[in-house]
Amino acid sequence: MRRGLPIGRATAVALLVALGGVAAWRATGIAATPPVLAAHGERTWIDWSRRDPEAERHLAAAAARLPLARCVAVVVESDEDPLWWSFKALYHLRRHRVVEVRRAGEAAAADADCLVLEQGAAGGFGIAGRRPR
Amino acid sequence: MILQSLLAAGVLVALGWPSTGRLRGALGWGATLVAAACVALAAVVPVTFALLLAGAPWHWALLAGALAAAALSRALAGRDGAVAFTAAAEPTLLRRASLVLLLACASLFVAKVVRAPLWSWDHFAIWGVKARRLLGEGGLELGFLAWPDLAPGRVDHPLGLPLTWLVLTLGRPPEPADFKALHLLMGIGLLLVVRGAARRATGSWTWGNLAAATLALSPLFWDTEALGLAELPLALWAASGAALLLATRWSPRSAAIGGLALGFLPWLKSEGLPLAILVLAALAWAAEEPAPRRWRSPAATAAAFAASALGAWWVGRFVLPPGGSFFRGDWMERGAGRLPQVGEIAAFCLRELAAWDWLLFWPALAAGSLLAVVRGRRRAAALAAAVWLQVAIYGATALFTYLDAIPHLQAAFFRISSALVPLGLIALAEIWGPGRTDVDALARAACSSCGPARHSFTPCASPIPAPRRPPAAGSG
Repeated sequence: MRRGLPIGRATAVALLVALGGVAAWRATGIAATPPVLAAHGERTWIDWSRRDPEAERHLAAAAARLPLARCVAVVVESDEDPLWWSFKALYHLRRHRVVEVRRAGEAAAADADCLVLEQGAAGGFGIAGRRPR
Repeated sequence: MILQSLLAAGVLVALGWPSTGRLRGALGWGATLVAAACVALAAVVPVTFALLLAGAPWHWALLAGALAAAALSRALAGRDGAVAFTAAAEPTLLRRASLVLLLACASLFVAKVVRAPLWSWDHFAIWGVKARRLLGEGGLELGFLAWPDLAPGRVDHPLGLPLTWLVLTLGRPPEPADFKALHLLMGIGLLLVVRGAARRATGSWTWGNLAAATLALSPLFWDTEALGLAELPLALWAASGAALLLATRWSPRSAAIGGLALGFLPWLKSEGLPLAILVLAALAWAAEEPAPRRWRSPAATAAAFAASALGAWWVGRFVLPPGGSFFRGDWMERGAGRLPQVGEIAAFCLRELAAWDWLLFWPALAAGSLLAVVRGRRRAAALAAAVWLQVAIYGATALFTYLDAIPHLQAAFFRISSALVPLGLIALAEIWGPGRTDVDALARAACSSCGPARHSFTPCASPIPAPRRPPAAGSG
């Protein structure tokens, strides 16, 4: 270190050791299965944001095999949050015009020729055909 | 996928290199290469977006954007402008140990991003969805922004980051794996920028490595909430702009490069505008240009910044839907009504900044800021002040937001503050370092005697350029 600096070699060594300790401790968390996700934002938001990874995977898979259509309506289980699903649908169905996300049993507002992607009881999504007039 | 992004990054480096290459002695190769790509993207993205908006197809718009970036980079090229830099001798063992630590911390960052899911809500509601839907077969498609459920999802956020991602995937809508790869690419780039800037400020690779390792363990890198969001890119362009300006012996052309990089901040995020203005003002105030020409470099920087920032403002005002700005409604009245809450808001912010997740970064920056003032470190104090003022802006937003004050802060304050860590680390390095004047003196000593310095990046054959005119009397 340059002579005369207020922070010298000893401080550099101390910082190096401290950072090395933090890194080693965190490495054990990353090596675990599943990895430990305990940073500030992860502690606060991950459960809220990632409510149902399995069902979301089903939606992404269904989106990949969905034929192109003029518009798509997504129907989720009656106990699901349509607003949460509307963001996920807009994200995963990127090639489609999503016009509606609603709960099963609710009145449809989409056009009759929209393709309907419906969530089944097991969480998976399937094409339920076009909405009957 | 990653090869495609690396190829695009390589082309961007080549486009920006003429403008930044002169600084490689001061910043090191890694930081200069990354800064070149940042400067190029700061030109490519606005030009490409303007042409897309005019109806041009993607490939033609991208090509024109690349040509514009090449022309701009060439126009800003030159030999002038690099700050004298001399690296002092440092213990080899310590330097190598710090490099090993940095590599270990960077590997942890890579491992975490690879193993963690892409989960952050704002990725699905704001940034990711825009990147995936912005380009259709007919070019730019903004119709999805009219989706009513998106309104609370801040459709008014700028489009610069989704377009940056699209440039780096060569127009292919990014998949989750792409977002991870681009996050890693930008993260490693940011580590290189901070390493180079800290090494330039302190004259020591050891401190450069330690600063970058600290960053790699900070919440900006370690918290996967930032994965697929705009905080890390915002930090990358802010740090690049600051590093370029700090490595520059102010001259209009070289200073304009930093202005261009900072001008991209409002394209990335709304809070990029005050951050860019604060950093520009701080570094212009602390510039050490001879008095008779003192206005020229800040003016050139401000012009480059304003050209880009005005474009971002125009897009926000006339292209994007109004969205869910935090200032919607009568924000003045809300602010007046919440004045009694100022203490509560300040206490919340301080508690957040004192969390162990920061590894004592903010207390260290507070102590360093005081030290900078006491020791008269003008640039360090100015940059640290810019960081603290931006934190204050984040806290003060809670007074005016349409959300309740504390829930608003709980939702974002910690995350958005993490983007300021790189600037804070650069400010700390400027505080520990010998200061520009001392560095110049060391460089002169090294050139005259070829003595204590191990590596001199100011060759004896090219002495440090003296001011073309003597400073005016009394200018300090």
